[in-house]
Amino acid sequence: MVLLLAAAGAPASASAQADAEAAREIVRHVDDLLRGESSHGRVTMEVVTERWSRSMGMEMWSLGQDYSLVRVLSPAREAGTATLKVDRDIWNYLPRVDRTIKVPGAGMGGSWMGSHFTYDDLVRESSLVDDYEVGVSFEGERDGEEIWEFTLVPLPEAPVVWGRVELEVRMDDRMPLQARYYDDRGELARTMTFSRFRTMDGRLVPTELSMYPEDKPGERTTLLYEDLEFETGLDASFFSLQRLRDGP
Amino acid sequence: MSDRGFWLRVGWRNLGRHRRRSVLTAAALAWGFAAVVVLNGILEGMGSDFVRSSTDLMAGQLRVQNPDYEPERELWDVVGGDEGVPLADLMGRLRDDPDVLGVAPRLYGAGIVASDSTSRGGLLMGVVPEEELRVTHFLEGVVEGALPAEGAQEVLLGQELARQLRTGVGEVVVLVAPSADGSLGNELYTVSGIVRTGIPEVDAAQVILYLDDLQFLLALAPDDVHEVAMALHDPWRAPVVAGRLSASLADLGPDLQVSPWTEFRPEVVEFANLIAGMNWVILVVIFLMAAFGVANTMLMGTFERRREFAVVKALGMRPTRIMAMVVGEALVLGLLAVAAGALISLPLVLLLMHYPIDLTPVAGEQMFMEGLFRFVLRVEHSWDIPVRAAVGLVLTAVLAAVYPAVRAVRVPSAEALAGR
Repeated sequence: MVLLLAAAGAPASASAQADAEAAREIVRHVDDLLRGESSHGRVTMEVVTERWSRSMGMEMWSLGQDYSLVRVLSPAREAGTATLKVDRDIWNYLPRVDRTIKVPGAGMGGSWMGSHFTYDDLVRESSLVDDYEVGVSFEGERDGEEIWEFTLVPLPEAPVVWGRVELEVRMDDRMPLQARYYDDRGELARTMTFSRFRTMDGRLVPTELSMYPEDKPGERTTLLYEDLEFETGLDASFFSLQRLRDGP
Repeated sequence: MSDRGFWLRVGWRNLGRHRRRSVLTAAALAWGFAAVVVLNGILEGMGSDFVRSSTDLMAGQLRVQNPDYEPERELWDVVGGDEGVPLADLMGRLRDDPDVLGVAPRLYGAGIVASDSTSRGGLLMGVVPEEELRVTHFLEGVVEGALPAEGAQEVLLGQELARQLRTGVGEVVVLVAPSADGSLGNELYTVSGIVRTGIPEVDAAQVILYLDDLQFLLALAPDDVHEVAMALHDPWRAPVVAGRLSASLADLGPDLQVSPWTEFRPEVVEFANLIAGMNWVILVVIFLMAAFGVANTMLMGTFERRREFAVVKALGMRPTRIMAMVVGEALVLGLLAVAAGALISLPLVLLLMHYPIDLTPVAGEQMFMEGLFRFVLRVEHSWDIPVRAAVGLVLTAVLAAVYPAVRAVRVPSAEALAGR
């Protein structure tokens, strides 16, 4: 699930036909970095809106792109609320009413746990992978760091929502710094920033991810990873509706 | 005897000289008059039914909202804004307006509605059913069960939504909705009833619950509403009443706006205007046809009387008098036709006013702009239609007589008298 959300910021592998082999390689690295085969961790999600701010503690598990499970640990009032994603389907477990509810198609545009991410953002990641063509749009120093800026343009038939994605990657350790998402009219829709790079379970990763929606100035959703482990050995059977309800 | 009366009398006599022809022409005009009156009345009736049904069904004819509420429809943009207004006071003040028929508070939200077997996206609407019934009709479409009761945690589901959820009266559903404080509201409710409004989008998604229950689910305060909808005695007075209420509610602060249906349903206004436009087209087409008939009759009449005109001209009658004689004849013809037309159309109008012919079994009915468009031949009572038609007819007759009158004036006396 790290990946689940991070993927929104690490847009995808390049297409096989891309000219810039090196560029594709770096983007793939960023992609793999945040994906891993499987992962488990704790994360704090802060949501700041015009009207309210809240912070939720969560535990997350993931396997590849298809499986993930998130359980709310705090605040106490919402503890036990959980989300399971299997392929393109999402279920929520609501302890208050003790019901498991599949998010219907019409509900996929809704906010996930009050954040600026929608359910669609959670399931969309996998479709990004082969859908963009990668080009280097900038190379050199920006804001005191040597970076590459990649521009990802969707392939003609690709079923993607963005018109274009710009990804900034730091040269010295190939860490992502920022991703900017543009809509199909070429206007900036959201910005994702990556920071607080730490080594977790032997891997250097950004442990703070923030998403700034362009249409809501001053608002953000931030994910702070507190611990992360990779290659956990979980298999697909872990991600069941029963686990969603009863916990690990 | 006034001069004008004299020429009317002459006109009347001249008409009598070719009685059959005059009667036929007057009959054509009378029929045109009747056609305009009945057709315009039917169209007016359809338009008015449509305006009424598209505002009475769900929208209301007047509403109070926070000016920031549309188009984002954020939960917290409630009437009165952050300070809020005491809802009972506001409703009381609105009810006191003599034009207002009913006042209904509403709260909206969006979320997921889930039955035991499946889930769907739901449009949540919190209402006070007994107030809502005084403003709109959609709650009258309960096909099974009953309206949600106060304090009972009950919901009324759209018919198609209930079908898709495979649920029914007495069953339990869960509503899940992002609430105003950022948490995920979720509660269990019992289905009290199933409603069919006829608006497909509503029937497939609407979840109606008691206002207090939705306020609780969405973590809003008891006075928080997104809208206060009103019904008026006369829908067309909405803009006037909106202006008056805006002024009288100004002391409640800026986060409160009164708007008439003509503003929030502009497409309905356009449709009403389209109907009014069609009425004019009918009027012009029919009277244009009538004009040629009158012109023809008058032209023939003046041609036959060339010698007469030549004589009076030779005797020194002024051209304006000759014109007045011909036009006066047409005027009398027009007035006769109006009288006859009124006689023809009155029973038809009365019949269609009181016993509308329902063509929906053949023509069907169309749900259109949230209104029900039905092919019912019903005449809407309105005085301006017959008056407009009468004025149109008389003007037509008079204008059609101008050319023949000019011809009459130009009759060369000597040649006409000589029989050439």
